[in-house]
Amino acid sequence: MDRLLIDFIHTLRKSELRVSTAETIDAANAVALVDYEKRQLLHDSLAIVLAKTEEDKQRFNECFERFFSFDHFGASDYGDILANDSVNSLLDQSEQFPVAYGDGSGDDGEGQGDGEGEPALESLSGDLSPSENGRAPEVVATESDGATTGLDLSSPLLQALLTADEVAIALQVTKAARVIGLDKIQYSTQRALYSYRLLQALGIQSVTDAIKILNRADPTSEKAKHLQTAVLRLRQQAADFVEDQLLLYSDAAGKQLREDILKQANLSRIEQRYFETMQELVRKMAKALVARHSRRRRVKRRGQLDVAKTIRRNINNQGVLFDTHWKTKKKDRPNIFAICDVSGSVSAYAKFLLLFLYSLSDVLPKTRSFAFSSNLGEVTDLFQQYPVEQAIESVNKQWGLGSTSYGDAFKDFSSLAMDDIRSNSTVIILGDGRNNGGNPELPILRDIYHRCRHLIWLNPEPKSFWGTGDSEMRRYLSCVHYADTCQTLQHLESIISNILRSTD
Amino acid sequence: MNKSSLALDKTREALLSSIDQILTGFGQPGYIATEQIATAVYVAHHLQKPILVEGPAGVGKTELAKCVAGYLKQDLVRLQCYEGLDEAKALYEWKYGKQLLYTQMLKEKLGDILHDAQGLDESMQRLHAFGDVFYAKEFLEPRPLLQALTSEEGVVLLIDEIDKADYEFESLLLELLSDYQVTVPELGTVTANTIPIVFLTSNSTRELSDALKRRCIHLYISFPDAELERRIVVSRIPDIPEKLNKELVAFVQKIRELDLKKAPSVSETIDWARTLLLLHADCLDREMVESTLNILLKFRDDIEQVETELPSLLSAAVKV
Repeated sequence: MDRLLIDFIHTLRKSELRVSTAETIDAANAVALVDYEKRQLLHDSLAIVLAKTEEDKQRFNECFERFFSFDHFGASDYGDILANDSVNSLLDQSEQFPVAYGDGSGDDGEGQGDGEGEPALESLSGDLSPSENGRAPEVVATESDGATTGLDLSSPLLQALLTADEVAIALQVTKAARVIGLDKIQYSTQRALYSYRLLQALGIQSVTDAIKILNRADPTSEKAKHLQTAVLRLRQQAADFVEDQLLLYSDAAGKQLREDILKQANLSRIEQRYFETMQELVRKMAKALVARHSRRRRVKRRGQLDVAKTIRRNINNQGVLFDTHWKTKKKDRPNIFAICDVSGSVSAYAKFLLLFLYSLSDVLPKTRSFAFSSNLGEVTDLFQQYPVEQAIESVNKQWGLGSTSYGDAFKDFSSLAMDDIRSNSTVIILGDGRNNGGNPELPILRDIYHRCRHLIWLNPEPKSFWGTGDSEMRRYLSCVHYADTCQTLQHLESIISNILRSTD
Repeated sequence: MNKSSLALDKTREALLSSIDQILTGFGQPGYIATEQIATAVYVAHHLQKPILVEGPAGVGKTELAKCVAGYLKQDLVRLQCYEGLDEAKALYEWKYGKQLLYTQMLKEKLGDILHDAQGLDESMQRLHAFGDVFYAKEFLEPRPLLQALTSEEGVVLLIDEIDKADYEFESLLLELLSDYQVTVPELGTVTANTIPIVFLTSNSTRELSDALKRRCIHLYISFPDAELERRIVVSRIPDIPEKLNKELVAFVQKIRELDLKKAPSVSETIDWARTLLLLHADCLDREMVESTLNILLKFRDDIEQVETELPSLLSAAVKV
């Protein structure tokens, strides 16, 4: 098989056309059949063998134009073309992902420049370039010196933490990130490593030393306590920062990787610009779910003879019961009631839950959704009429204002839809259960609980937060079948998959 | 590897030996093919792959298969897909009635076979030696897919609207499409005598599985451009005045640009042309178009929309 074709298929794969090995062989056979002589003929025959949907055909056409855009197919020429191509694609990437550090737009040009020239996958050992490598330990060294001689408040990080100066802390984090070359991060498994490096470069050692000294001097020191909580927060901030950078920079390692990361990323932390990818991802996951669950619509009840049908079928055979007919049972699709808190912090999760539910319309035709913050209303029609983005926006505008009140929302829900909840209904409530101290209206929830088949509560907060402060989660737990933390797409997928499975 | 060892139809080989030949050959029964279509048929034949044809309704997907069958002078075996189609209707079925009669016959003759057998063991042995014809080829009722495989002279197999069938049916097709064989559990594997040319059509009401797509070559037929559509109309209605043809095709092409529920298909263009010819029109005029619009458009809303824009559409069409 010739290299030209293989290289072309590589370009196709790079632009997200899935070409299998079998199809590659087909393509080679087709080329052998028609040869490279006529451009149009080559195009037509490769297109029918390699691109199998309308979108694929379009992508194929673009690729073909770019790849075979020279006059004669000399092997010496196309090498240059390919080289240009790869440079272009690299340039594209750097354009899409602008410089990350807001404050250092002037002097971090060098780091960005390095990244372009280097191959996409870089080994970890190359992460610290020599000049930067020299600087990082220096910072740590001077600070640990200060700690041994006594309490030294000159460390900028310590200063910032003591005065709780958010801006200064952010600045420090950004600077430290540049020192350790955080922009080289590519895999989610590197998160811990980079968080550690980031904290070291920040000079966390000096702070912990300072806490030790303060505690030794005065065990009840307010300052030490203050610093301790500040350090805890700083660790969290660093971890979040690393995660953000991971989303930003892992691009070079390919879309698949980014999708895996997005699936595991906390939904409220995903930035606006990834929403398109997220939507695509949700659709993909939904499609897989549809494929998995749509085929089980009829279940044979093995062992139960349908006597009437068997007799009718066997009249031809002189009444000898020869061709048996077994009872089948048609499966009901669950009808789903989704009740979503769309106030502030929870709305990001609601968005994806609804996106999921509406992408599943093939297997979940009867989904009704409700949105509330203080008052609740049905938003099913909005989602059927408008594209998701637009629907979500108008839902937020219409229902997202006002302080959260689960009690009022349940009251509204009960007057709107309580009568429609039957034994095959699944009710999903998405919310943090923070009721602002109002009446939780537990009896209504209990009523729903008794009527429906499943009542599922998805809470974006981790379990340890349930019941703290104004959260009514502990009380609501008494009237739900199942409650869980739901922070990532993966959580959502597994929950919805369970709903589908439970009705199969 | 059994593919290459199969005898290929000589006449078919000759008829499909070049793309130009296919192009001119298709023209005779009145199917105006684009170069892409001819290339697809050519490549499919030589790679021995099924063709999956997609495109909007009424662009001649089914017609293509009919035309190939006509051109090759081979039988067209057609399988219309629908929800709930299963192997008993698509592949094969046992002739239960005959099987039943056979068992009754066997019961009657049992005495003759076993009358001098000594003891149970010998009886059993004789019965085994008798041969098991209960699941024999004679009791097999071939359905379209099996018919296409077992046919002595090659056939064109059309699996129409595969997207209407269930997922399970798609999987059932995989063995047939990749190896041109099917496995009947009671009999074993049935391999094609002559490899049929297989067309699958789909209106993309749902996504087909990757496994199916991988086994096929994929041809997308879109609405023809004006020039091609004029040729198609002439080939079907040879005595149409050239002016009328030009104007009506331009008009239909304009309509397709509108945002309609269902754009008029090629077959509807032809029907409309026939109607206009019947009414002795030699060019488009407003009244005539208004009264015959229901042949072109099948939704009330579409007709209303076109009627409001009729003057501008007509003047644009006549100008061309």
